[in-house]
Amino acid sequence: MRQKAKEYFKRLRAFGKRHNGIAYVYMIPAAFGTLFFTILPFIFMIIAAFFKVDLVNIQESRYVGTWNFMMVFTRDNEFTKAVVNTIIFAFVTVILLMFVTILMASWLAKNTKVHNFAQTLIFTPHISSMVSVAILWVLLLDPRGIINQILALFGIQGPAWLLDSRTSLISVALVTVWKSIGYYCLIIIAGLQALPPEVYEAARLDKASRWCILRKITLPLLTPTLSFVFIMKFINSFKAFAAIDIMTQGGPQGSSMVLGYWIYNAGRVKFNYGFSMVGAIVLTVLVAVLTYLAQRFFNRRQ
Amino acid sequence: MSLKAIRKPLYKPLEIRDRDKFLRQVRLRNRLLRCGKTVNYLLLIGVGLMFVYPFAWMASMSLRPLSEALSFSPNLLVKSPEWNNYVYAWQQAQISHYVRNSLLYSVLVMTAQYLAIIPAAYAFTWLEFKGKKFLWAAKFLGMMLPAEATLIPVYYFYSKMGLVDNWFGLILPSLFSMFGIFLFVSAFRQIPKEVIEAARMDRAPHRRIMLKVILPMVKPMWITHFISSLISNWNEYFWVLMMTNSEKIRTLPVALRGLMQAEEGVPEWNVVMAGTMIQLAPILIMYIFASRKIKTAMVGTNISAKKLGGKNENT
Repeated sequence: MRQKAKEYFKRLRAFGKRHNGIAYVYMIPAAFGTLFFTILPFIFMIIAAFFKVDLVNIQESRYVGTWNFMMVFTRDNEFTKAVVNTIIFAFVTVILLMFVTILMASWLAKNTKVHNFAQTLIFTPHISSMVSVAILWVLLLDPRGIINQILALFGIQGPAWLLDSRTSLISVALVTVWKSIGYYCLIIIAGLQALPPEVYEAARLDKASRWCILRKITLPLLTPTLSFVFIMKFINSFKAFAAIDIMTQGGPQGSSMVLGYWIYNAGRVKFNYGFSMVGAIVLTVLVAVLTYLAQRFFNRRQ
Repeated sequence: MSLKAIRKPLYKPLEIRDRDKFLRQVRLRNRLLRCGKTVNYLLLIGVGLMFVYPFAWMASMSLRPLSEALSFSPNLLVKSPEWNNYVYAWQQAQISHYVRNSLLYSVLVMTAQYLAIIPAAYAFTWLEFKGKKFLWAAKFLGMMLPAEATLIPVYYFYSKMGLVDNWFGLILPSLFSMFGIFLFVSAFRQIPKEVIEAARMDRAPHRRIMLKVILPMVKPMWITHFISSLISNWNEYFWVLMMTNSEKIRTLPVALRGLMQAEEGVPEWNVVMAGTMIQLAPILIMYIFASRKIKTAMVGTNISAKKLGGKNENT
């Protein structure tokens, strides 16, 4: 018996040596993770969208065809609102961020002590957690909070920000922009410092104005980095969850509901798992299409 | 006509014609420049303060008595600091318990993740095996699949396997973090293949190559990954909120949400702020002492991993 086991073990080792067996051992955790957190959930998601799911007794689930889709697309007002809001949120965040960070980065991109200090300061919100930042801004954006106090100094009656259905989504977008300005500024500054200095010397010899240099030289040279970074940000802002969860919870009247939060709300709060999975499919398709378009865009460029 | 008639007077620059006026002009210009520089610096600091002031205000809020806190005064100074807020948060609101959980979570993830990430990255970069392409493609699928979408299925698997409210289940996905694998692959690809081949010639097993040859070479990258993943794990919110039902193993960020929404009516903002300060403090203190290192770590890792298609963990 023992002899046999030894023999078997020897053969196994020989097999492993011949076929690079160690690679499989190294890959086991990663493969398990992919299976468990990507492939199986993906399959589950597609199947569950066609069922009325009961997670406690999975056998009790009934096949309902496209009923879930019908209900979500036609009856659920919050869902359509969530899709529209998600897209608005992504656009507002990215466009604002792009505008502000490009200007600020070209202002901050110098290597003096003060400039570095300013960079350090504006980077602070990025390393602090979204939860703390969101809680902090709930207070700052309170109808009686600091922002409205400052606006009152200029004689402006500030809105109720997070509590007003007209401004809630924009307020959350503004907070996420505030949090990530530092990060994107530093990325752009890193890109700026990698640009060839000769071009700038030539421009200065030609007496080009600073605005002209920014528009005609810096932006075109930076476009590859910029578009990459901001398209990634665009896709990422489809997944804004923590900010919405802390600051508005989709409220008032669903005015700041985004897709990621809608999925959580439908599944984990209202226990409509089928609906939630329909939302998940829509979100996945949106992200996948955008990622695909982005990839194609970059491959054509390079 | 003679040449003399059309000859113009020789051009003399101002500094020769009127030296005093020239010097005055230069001095004025220098003064203006210096002035502009100072204004620029002041503006820079001012804009920088826009990003730090809220945190300072938070610290001041956390020291006010409740009645004073509810006035939302923008003043940073507190007349009689109420340190009891922290004591109250630490004991009554059980922040101590959540701090312990947060620490445990971070430490567990930070120690366990490299056991899976580094071998996987090594195999992806230098070893040939069946299914390599498939796995790599699946990783990209995983990138496109938002965590919100896989939430319900993963929760179902977890509840069937008894992993909800369980330390093992909580740290499990971080062990296969795609972000980490992409990052290490991108660092490994910088190392010339000859290094590995030479080591293989000397009949070194892969395990020893990985530990003794490769890891020392990617040490700088390892430090940056360590810093950025430490911060993002300490701040982790979504995953912990989803996969826990009881307060037993919830971490600090999730507890803060509970603290804010617990009571009816107005929350005790001074205590909430104290809790939030406790959550922020370790990272901010780290940032004060190693700001340069943290800045380059956060910016650098994310770019190099994104170029390969990883995603930003700290959103």
